[in-house]
Amino acid sequence: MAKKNADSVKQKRSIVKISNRSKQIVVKNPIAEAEDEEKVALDAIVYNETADEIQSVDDEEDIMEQEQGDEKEEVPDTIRNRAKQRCLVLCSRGVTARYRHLLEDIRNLLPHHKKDAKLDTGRGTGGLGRVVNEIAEIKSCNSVLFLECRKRTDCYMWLSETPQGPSAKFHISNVHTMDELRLTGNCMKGSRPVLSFDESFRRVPHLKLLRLLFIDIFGTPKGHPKSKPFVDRVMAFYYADKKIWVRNYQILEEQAANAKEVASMKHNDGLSTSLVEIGPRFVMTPIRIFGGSFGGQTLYQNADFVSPNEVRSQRLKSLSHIYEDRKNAQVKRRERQSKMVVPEDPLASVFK
Amino acid sequence: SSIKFSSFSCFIGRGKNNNIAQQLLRSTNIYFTMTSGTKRKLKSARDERSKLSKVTLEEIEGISSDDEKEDDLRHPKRPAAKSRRGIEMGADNDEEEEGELEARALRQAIMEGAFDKFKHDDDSESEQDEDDHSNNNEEEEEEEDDEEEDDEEQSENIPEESQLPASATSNINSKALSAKSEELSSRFGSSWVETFDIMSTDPLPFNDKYTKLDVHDDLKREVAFYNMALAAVHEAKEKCKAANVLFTRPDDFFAEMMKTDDHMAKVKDRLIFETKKISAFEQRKANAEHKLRAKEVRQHKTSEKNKRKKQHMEEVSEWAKSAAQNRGSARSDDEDKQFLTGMGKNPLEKSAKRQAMDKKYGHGGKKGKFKQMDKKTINDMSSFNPRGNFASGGMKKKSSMKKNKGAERPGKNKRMAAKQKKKN
Repeated sequence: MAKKNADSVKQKRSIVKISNRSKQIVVKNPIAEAEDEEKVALDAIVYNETADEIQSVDDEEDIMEQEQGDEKEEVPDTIRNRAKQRCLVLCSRGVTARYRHLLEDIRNLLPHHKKDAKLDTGRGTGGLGRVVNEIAEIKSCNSVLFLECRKRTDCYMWLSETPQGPSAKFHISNVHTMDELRLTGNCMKGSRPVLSFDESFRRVPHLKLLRLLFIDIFGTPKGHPKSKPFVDRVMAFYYADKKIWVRNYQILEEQAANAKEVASMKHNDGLSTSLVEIGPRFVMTPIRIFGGSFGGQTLYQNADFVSPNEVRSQRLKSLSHIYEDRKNAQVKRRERQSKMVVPEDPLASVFK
Repeated sequence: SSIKFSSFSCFIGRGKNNNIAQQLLRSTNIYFTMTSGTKRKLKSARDERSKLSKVTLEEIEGISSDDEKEDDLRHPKRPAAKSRRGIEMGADNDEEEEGELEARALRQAIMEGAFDKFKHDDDSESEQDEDDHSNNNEEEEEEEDDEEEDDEEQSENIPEESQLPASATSNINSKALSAKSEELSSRFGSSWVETFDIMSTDPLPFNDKYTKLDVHDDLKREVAFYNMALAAVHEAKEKCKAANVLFTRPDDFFAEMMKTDDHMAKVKDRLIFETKKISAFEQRKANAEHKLRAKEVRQHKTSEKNKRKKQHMEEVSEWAKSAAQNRGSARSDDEDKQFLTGMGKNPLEKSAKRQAMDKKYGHGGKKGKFKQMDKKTINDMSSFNPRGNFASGGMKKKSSMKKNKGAERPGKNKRMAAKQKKKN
């Protein structure tokens, strides 16, 4: 049985090999190439979901050890764990078009995502957190990006590490999706981004935690089968005005067009790099950070956050005084009219 | 304390120095409602004293420097008498005195400690205000909190902030936060290549006291973001080089892109459209300017022409005057008259145009030459045809006069011979 599986897996491995080769135009020494392929193939195997194949991985390893001996590359555990990152990306029911497009864009950005249908937590299902955690468990995902839209206007984003990890709730605003024609950049689907963080992510304690969350979710794990080799884009997170601003840029490097330019570039050591914005871009206001997934101890609560409901109610209240003032003024006018009585002029009828 | 507040409230709403009272009220967070009467008076006072800027207590002390009142100041232990007098005086219509009495009473009240309760909050509130107004260092705030948290050992609510209205400091459980973040970071491997994350060392310029970049200034904010990202890219590139990770994508590497080709075509169209718009606008501007310039030039030319004409006419009239002066002499004036009327031109002389027309069409036109007889042609009988075909004239014989060049052409052999001769 083991051998049969091994054969099937070997076949799969070969398929993976071919596809990888067609995609990559990499000039390396053959030994290194072989090693790389093995490694990539191994990681690819890891992602196959059926239990048989997962078992066969171990068998495969044993066989590989027998075959290769010294030359086999040890894949360390931490890297394996990191490569197993799967992010569940879903939204709630009642999401408007803009946020739906945002979610689609995020799914494009994250090659390690798992899609799920719209979540509608009815009554008696035990609350949002429990439901999402269950779904994540079923799909064997270890992180969740959940977009919740309330009253068809306010959008909240939950980022969470599902088994026991921390989770965070944000309020999303100023969304510009990739569809906008002003955002002219483009990048490879599945290329690993460079994640750039602001200096505040080094100092502020709750931002330190958020940075790790972002790396887990927005950073593509190395060796993922859908990931591409070159570095094409930067995903930048900034902290300003107590909000987190997210930007996505494409890295454009000027390549030498002719030999002259190549020579000059070698001299000056300058391939001028420039950035073009791809999108999407949005602003996250952190509301709360929880110790558990979708619940648990509150690690951080942003007291400066005013919920959009409150904002709306304040605005409406401020408008209410117009009516009040008008009514008061009317009452006063009536009073004044009644009080102001012009005394009778005794000489009024003189010149009639 | 309630008594003090009531005495205080007596003075509010009267007189011109309500500004002080308002200031104090604002800073101490006492809110109370004013009746409409006081509102009206306040408004009138404000209108009258529109030029008066915020009056501080120091200024008031300077104002109220009458001897009587100074004595009163130095004896703070007579509150009841003071207030009584204040009320009595308030009954008068002398508003200035009222104001000064108000100030005095307030000062007295402060010294007695009416506002001690609010002193602490006063400071913290003003601090808060400062923080809110300037682009604040939230770091300071949070460090303060951290210290507090360390004192209070993992308690979640910070009790001090209950008094402050809206901007309470955030709830941070820093120990748990750091514990969690350590847990998470242990999951990542030690190599940078796994995470590809770069943290910049320079802070964003929004909190800078020197540049004072506003977060809401879109263009500059995006520029700051761009610069930071670019710096991060450079750093990442170097790290990749060190870690032997391929960075630059070669031009011939084809892969599926996030935005489809159709979408990029639309983007391109839009960019082209925008550039066209800009260029059209600039063209229109240039045209308008050019038109203006052209108009100016044209105007200039016509004005010059008119000037010249005017000058010429003046000269002529001057000459005419001088000529008129010399009229009485014996010389005949016919020439001059002619000259004057013709304006300097020989009347018999034909214009250039006329001459050209005469040359072309005069004396019988093109045919006319042939119709004229001269010495040679008078005895020339070549055109005489005894048969008498009368379609004569010099013109129509041209076609028959034409030689038959084809018949005159020598044969091939002769032509070849001639060629050979030429060569030799």
